[in-house]
Amino acid sequence: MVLFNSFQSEWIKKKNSSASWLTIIGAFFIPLIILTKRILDPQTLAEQNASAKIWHMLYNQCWQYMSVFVLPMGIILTASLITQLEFRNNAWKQVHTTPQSFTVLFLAKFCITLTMLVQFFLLFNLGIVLTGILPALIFPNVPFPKQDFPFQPFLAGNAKFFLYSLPILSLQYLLSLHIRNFMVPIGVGFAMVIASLIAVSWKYGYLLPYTYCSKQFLLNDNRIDPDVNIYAWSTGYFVLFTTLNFLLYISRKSRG
Amino acid sequence: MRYICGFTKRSFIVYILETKALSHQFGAGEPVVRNLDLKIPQGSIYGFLGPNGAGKTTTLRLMLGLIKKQSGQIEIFARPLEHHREQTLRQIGSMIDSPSFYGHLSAYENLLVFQKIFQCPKSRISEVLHLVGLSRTGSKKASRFSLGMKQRLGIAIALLHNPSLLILDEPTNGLDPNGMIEIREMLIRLNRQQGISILISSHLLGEMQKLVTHVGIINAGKLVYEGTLDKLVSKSGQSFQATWEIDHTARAMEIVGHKYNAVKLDDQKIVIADLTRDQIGAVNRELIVAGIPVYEITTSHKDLESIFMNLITNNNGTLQQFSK
Repeated sequence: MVLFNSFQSEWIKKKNSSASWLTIIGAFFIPLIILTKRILDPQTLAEQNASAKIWHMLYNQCWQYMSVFVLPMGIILTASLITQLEFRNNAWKQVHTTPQSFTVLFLAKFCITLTMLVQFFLLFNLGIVLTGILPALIFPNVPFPKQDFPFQPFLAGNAKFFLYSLPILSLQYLLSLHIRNFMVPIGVGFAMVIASLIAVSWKYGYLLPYTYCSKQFLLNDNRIDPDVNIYAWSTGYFVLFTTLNFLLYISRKSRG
Repeated sequence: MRYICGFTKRSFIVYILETKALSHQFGAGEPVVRNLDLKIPQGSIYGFLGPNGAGKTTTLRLMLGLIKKQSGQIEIFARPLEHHREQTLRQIGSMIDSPSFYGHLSAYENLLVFQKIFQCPKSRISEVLHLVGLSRTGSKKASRFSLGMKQRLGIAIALLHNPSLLILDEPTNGLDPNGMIEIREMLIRLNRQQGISILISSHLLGEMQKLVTHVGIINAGKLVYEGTLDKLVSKSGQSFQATWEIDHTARAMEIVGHKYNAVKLDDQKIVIADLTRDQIGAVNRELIVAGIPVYEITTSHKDLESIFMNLITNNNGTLQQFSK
């Protein structure tokens, strides 16, 4: 109950914040580009919507762009903006004088970032759906997508990307929570994304958690070691970064 | 009352907050707080005074658990803070340094953030907004508030959960005279009508003199005075500061300068602090005997500012800087 109250409090804080706007804009960014591209090419539009693989095509198009750059950058910025709510408003000292245990405080804020990630995924998928449906509503000659919506593959695919996002989120949250200057976590995150683009097809690229989202589309590439269990690495990094973050947080000597 | 009770010879005093041998230092530097023994009576408005860098804010942060305690004890509501942190903080409202609030939210939303944590009735939000005069701010974002409104919002957050103890660090900082009067009157009202004990630090001594009932004066991390304001003023009121308007001030300084703490103000005036009535007469006699004509003697009782300055004067007779 205490955690729920704290979560509610954190949820109000993010209302109208840059982090919440970024989640919405970031989620619709790629679907909007794909939709615009489709609308500007009306000749193939009807044909595509009539295809039995329309949803798979849209899913692949959207996720390919999203996973390589927009998703990691979105996570980096959101994690920074969430903690900056306290730093920028000089509010840590007020938060730390409320009757909550440090564990509850840590978990509530972390749950907010996780919930925002879920929100981002939901909105992004809504964007993909709209990319398929909206042309049929706008143009009379374009049919609604012929293929039944593939719920299960969508869910499975999203779950994988969600899992790959967790180590990035936990590391960025760690950096953002402990470094007041927001340029540092953003700079580190940006450098990691660039490094991941280079390292993605490297033999030991799996050591860098920022490569996991991009790897999803390179699984058939012979440079990727099929024996490396990315799910396990991803979960391991997530647990490691979150535990380290928590230990650093509760052992702080000064709290604002 | 549940709080710790201390006895004096004549009265039974309940302390809402006590520190015992509280010390703190940052890194390998000099201690910022040294063996501090504070006793804050329940129901008092306790002024915590000291020059810049005296250790006031560090002490307040220690009391709220914002800095990890290194040595000594902090007991609030008769409970050690480190073992009853959450329970204790539930009864404390605080505003340290500058007010903390979320600039992208309205005053109401800011209070809602804390209402969720304290689980106090939602109606309390409107009550405190009304109390601090922010009930008409509507959906205006707090970042667009004036300095006085921001300060009042900080106090509203501190008051939201009906605390028994308010800890305020420089709550009138940056306010215009009217704003200061409003805050002062509000704090006195809260203290008298609702019985809230208030610990307040400020560098505005004139303001503090009109507000506080008890005073703790800290210098270089050490407590140099603690007691009621009345006692401090009446004790210091037994001495005077006297100014002589005379000719030959240089000669007068030779005669009385070595005996008293005399200061030459200009070519026609010397001033001596901490004199009794008899001493004023003695100084005057010495000047007359030395053939120095005296045209005027003016005396004044000390106000809190001069008492304070006297107390924090170090051994070399120089004063610590007194401004924030």
